[in-house]
Amino acid sequence: MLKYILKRLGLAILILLGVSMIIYFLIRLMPVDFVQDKINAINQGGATVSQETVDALYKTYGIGDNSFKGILSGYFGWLGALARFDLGTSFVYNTPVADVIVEHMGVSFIIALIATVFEFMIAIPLGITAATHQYKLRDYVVTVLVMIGISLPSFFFGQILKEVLALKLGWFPASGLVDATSDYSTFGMLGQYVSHAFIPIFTIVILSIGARMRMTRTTMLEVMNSDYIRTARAKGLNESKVINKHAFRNTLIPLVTSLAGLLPSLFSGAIITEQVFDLPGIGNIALTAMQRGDIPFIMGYNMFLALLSVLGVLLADLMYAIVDPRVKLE
Amino acid sequence: MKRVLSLILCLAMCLSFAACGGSKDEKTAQKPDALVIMTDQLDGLFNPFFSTSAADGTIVSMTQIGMLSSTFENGEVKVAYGDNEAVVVKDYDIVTNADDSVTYNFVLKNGILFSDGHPLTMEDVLFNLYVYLDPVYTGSNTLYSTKIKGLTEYRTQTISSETGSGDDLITSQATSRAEARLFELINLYTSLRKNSSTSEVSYDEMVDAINAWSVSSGYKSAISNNPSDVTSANLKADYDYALKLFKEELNSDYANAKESYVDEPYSNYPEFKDEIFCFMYSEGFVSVKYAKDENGKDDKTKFESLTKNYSNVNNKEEAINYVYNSKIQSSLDEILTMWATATTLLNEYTAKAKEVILKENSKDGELLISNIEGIVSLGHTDKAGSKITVNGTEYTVASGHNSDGTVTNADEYDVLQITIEGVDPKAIWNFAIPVAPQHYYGEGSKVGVDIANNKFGVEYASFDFMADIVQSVRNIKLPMGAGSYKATDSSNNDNPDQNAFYTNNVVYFKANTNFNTVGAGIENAKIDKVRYQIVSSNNAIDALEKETVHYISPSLTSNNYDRLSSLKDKGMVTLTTDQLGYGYIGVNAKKINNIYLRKAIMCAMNTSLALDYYRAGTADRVFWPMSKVSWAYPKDGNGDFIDDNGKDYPQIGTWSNDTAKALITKYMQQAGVSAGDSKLKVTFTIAGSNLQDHPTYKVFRDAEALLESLGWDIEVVCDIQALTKINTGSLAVWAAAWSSALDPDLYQVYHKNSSATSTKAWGYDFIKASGTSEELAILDELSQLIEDARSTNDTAVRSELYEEAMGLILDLAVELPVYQRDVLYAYNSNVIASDSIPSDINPYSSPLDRIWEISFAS
Amino acid sequence: MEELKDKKLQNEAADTEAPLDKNLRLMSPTRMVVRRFFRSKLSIIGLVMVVGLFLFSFVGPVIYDAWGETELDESGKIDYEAAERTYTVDGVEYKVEQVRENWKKDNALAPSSKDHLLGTDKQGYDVFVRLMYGGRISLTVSFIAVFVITLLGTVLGGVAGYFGGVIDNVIMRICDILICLPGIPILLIISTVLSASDIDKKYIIYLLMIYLTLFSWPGTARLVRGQILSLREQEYMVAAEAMGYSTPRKIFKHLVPNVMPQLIVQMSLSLGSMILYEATLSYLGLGVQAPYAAWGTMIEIISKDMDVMQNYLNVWVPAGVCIVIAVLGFNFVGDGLRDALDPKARR
Repeated sequence: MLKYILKRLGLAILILLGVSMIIYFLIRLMPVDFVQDKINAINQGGATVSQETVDALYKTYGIGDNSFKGILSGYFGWLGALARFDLGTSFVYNTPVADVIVEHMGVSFIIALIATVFEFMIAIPLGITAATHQYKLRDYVVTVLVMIGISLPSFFFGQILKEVLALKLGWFPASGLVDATSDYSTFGMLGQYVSHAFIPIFTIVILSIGARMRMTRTTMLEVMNSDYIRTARAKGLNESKVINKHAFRNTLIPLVTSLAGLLPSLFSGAIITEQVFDLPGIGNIALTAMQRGDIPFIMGYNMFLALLSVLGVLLADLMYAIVDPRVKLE
Repeated sequence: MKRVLSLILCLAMCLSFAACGGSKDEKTAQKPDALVIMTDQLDGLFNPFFSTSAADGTIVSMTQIGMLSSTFENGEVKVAYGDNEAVVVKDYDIVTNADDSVTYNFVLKNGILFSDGHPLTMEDVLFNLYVYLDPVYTGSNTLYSTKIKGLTEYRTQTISSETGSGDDLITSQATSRAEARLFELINLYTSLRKNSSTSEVSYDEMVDAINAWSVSSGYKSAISNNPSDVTSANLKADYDYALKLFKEELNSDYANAKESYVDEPYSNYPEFKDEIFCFMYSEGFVSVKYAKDENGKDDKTKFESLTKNYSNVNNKEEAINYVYNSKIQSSLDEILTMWATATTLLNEYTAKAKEVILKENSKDGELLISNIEGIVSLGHTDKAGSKITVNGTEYTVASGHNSDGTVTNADEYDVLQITIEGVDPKAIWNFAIPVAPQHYYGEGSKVGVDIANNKFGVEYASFDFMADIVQSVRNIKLPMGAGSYKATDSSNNDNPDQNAFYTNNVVYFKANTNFNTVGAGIENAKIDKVRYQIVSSNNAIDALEKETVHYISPSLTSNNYDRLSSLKDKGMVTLTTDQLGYGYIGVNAKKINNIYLRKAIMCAMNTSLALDYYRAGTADRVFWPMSKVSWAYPKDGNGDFIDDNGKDYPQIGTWSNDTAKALITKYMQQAGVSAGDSKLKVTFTIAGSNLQDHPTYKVFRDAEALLESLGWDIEVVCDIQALTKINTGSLAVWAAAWSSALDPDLYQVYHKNSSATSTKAWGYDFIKASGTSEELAILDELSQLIEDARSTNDTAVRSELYEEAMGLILDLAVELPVYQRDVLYAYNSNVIASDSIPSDINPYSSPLDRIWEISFAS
Repeated sequence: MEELKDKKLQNEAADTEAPLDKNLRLMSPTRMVVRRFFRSKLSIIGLVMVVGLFLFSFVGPVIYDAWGETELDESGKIDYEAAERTYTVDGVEYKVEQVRENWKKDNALAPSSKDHLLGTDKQGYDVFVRLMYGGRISLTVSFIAVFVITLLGTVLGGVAGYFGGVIDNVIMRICDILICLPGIPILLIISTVLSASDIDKKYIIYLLMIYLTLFSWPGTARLVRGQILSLREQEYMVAAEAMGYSTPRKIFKHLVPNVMPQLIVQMSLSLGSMILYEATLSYLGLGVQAPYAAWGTMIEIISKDMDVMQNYLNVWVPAGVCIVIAVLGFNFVGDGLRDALDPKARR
């Protein structure tokens, strides 16, 4: 096992190098030029920029040379800094990239975590119920309702919810994370966070229940039709023991695979939802950074996500081996 | 079952939390604790020197005051100063000096305190100035483009030979050293010639002599601080350089020779028709014998004989070489004393010597030029304690300063004097910089503050200083100044943690209790807590309605306007004013290099369609390339705008497709192209990511239909990168908007010598290189008008010049002005007292300019 | 004696009346699948939805050609604008509510009528027709994408899972790299690069879909490989090995059909998510460019334009409904297929 893990970690580093190269070269190919935008902003205001200033700016941001050699040296510069655990300073926010990510990570992570917990808590029981009552009314109703949830684009659904719940009914605040008009005690602050985060979390949960429930139902159905379940029934075990003890365990396998994909999404922030609801999460920040050509930030953020993906995949494979005794690792 | 129960429990808990969060109904009955203003996305770069985005700038300006500000009276923008304004300048005036330079005198107020209690003094003002004028300052403030005396020298740390002739000690010392240097060569030459049999010294002989020569100490001290570095090689370099200059002088002499004799009485002599003869005559290679007049004296108008003392000269080059070779061998001393070459050499030698002297005088590690000549604090010179009249009032210049920089005697004032070269009506606005505290933004600087010794707390030309001290993490996250508000956190602490100022998309301010020190007419802010909340522009009006924010500045779309009108009953007040700027359609002269084709394109644009995008009354058409807000927009005698710009374009009056088509056909004929020509394939670009959501989209769409019916091939696209592409001149036809500056000066955008990237958009580099004579003529005339307009302060004269200039721009067919729109502000009058917020706003101000006077509604 | 004879006769009669083999109705596996498919009502409904949408999108415009996709209704419309004006007459101020008639050339935001079954949108295009044209693009793109993803994923995943070793390693490493590339960021970067180039705007959406395929097939491959890893060790595979079947036969005739249920569920979900991807891309400004229609661009307007969202439901609700119907339909069909194809199903 240990040898396997080490081998995979080694591979992971290679993969990350490959990913970082692809991302860096793609970014440098982007027609967005942060320095040029800055100069445009100054020009729009009616002022001139001297050539010396332009050169100095390019030097500061290190993106002057767009030839192949220049890009290559830029990449190795970034890599070198990374070796010293320096992710660089964000162009747009002027603070170290690591600080920016950590600062805004909290909001996204907590929202994602709560949403995921709810998602699992609701989806799995629903899936099991639907599977055990296949083709009955319960199955149909649950399936249809849940399916409508995943049929809607995220911004569409979020926007409608906002319109109905927040603007027309006024039950919840429409956007943002805190109410700035008043001061609150700590407990009140917590209440503020909850009421502001309710609709976004609700949106995310509804949109993701469908897939989870489906997967549970499908696997459950497969398992229910297998021989050992028939044996267990034949043995005379009561139905709930059959389902909860024997069937459920075996539905874990595909669920475990899907956990791998969860790790990065917990930290990446729901870009669209955060935009719709004006949440100060990392997804929103990342979107702005990408649109403005903030190279250090884009590299730092994407590499962070890539790292999480790699770890997630490694974890999934390991879990596969643990959960399913039939699987052998090499 | 268990699962369902636990689910219900969870949901119930959540809902109860939400309810605890405070229900909206309770709150609207009470007054809110804080005033909440909407802002756009923030970068978080809250630094007065380096913030770039407008939203960041708004946040920073809450904490800062400026040297000056502006007011809008009677249609004119005026400088705001004095005790009733939140500015540093108490009084000022502008004085034109005898040598055409202009001096600005600023009297600074006493007693202003920053929000942390430190006093605001001349030290802070100079600190700010020297940061903005530092050679490695890369922020967005362009103070360095003002022609302040001594600025170039400071920024380049060299002395140019055109530096004004100061008659101070250093200049005279430098001149004598320079002469010594020059005479080294002359003496060597004359001694050689004395010993020569032919009275001529050839080049090689001279070089040999130089190589054998050991230079004197006087010579050395004119060139370098290290005497051992100076050898005879320097002398040889001097010699070669002098010869080179001489050759150039002869060249220009040749060019001028023929002309200079045209008016002479003897110019009808046939010899004088030959330019070679004229040249040789002027250089003294023709012996002249005058005819005698009736008194027997020389009649200088008639020649008896003209003898050429030269031969084998058949063309210009030979003529010049002949003179050159002759002169350098026989009269080098004359060349180095009496010819123009001598003056040039002396000036350059003087400049170099000056540098040497200054370096000798300066201590180790100090700057050669440690201050900007044109910026003087009178209280730190020998004028301290004297009286000065500024703007009609007599002030006493500060005679002494305390250790913290304040003036010892409260009746005396610090006076800042800035001198610029030449008249510049824009300059006063450049001086309206914010004054940020030196002890905060220069904390940790290796250079201390000692004005008398030219130390301003700024490390010269240091990227590290700019990046680590001025832009330290604290200085980016926590702005501090003398403004009406200061930074705080959600618990209203006086000394907030730097990360608590901007959290969760909210920025926290509290009233600055030292603000009333800014002037006798200034009081501390009425509202103690102010917050800025990030709201995306789509959600702006919703947020206002739901009272999440109390003041918004939404974009002017007809939807927003309608919604705000419908909310009037709920107490939402809308304010509109013209935007300072206008929308236009640009045509690139490089991509569409035929002026008639450009005119044809402009004729296809029905600009009235742009107004469809806006609600009636909130946008207007513009017929001259200038904002209607500017005083320079052509107006008739009644003060009404002149729409008819007198050009042959169909936009004026009611649009008729037929008229437009006729004009286009005419221009096509003049351009010599017919339908289906490859030149008629053009792309119209709209800046932005959404093609249809733009006021000019309909204009382009209809123009496309019109032109295609006449055989053109048009494509209408949108482009996020449009702004960059405009500045590199790669778009053929585009729609964008300008925001205007306070002064209508057109230099940057339209002058042929402007180095701004904006001129690439029109294709100026193409016109200058390969434009038609018509285009070049327009360009020259336009540039001349612009120059004339910016060298006087008389607005009447300037208006006329600008009207002519703008007519020429329309003739050049590179810009078609389209529309001008309003800006929208809205606030909740249930929360903000309507009488505390100005209802007559103008394009140059926002309702929040005097935010300290705004109070809550009772 | 006669009893025995009767019984024997009875038995004979029984034999001749209804021989066993004649009583059985033989059903081919396909027929069984179809029968199982139609047993679920949801599957039928789903099939109807999908077929209906296809007909609507592809055949619709041929039948109903009153308006073109990008044809503007320029019949004009009178817009009423109310504004308050203040007039000062003889020193007295009068506030007047002025209603102005504004002639707008384009008949934008018209309500549904005989001419326009669903009214017109903000530019003046007919909503109903754009719904049909939009369906073409949305459906086509999704189908192509999912088909390619599944093909690539199954082949590569199957090969990797079956052979293991170096092949498995290489394919899986490629999968890993592609999975680790964050989806939306890369999409944004690529789209900015593309939009800056000179490719015809109409084709950008197809190119983006290609990139989506490139990023999505690893998911399928991993799924297939995972299943094969477990199935490979099962007894029937050992038997197949013993029987000496060729490798392709073992993979594609024995292993893959057992992966089918999971795969089909994935496919049907993918179809739905591809349609949703198109909508999200439009929201980010990367989707189909104006003036062409796609369902995503038609609903994207609600996040930018509050007025249309609240007051002109006819502009965006139909497109949203179409998206929901499409995704639901695909999912129901997928569900039905999964149940029908399950080799371990009860009947």
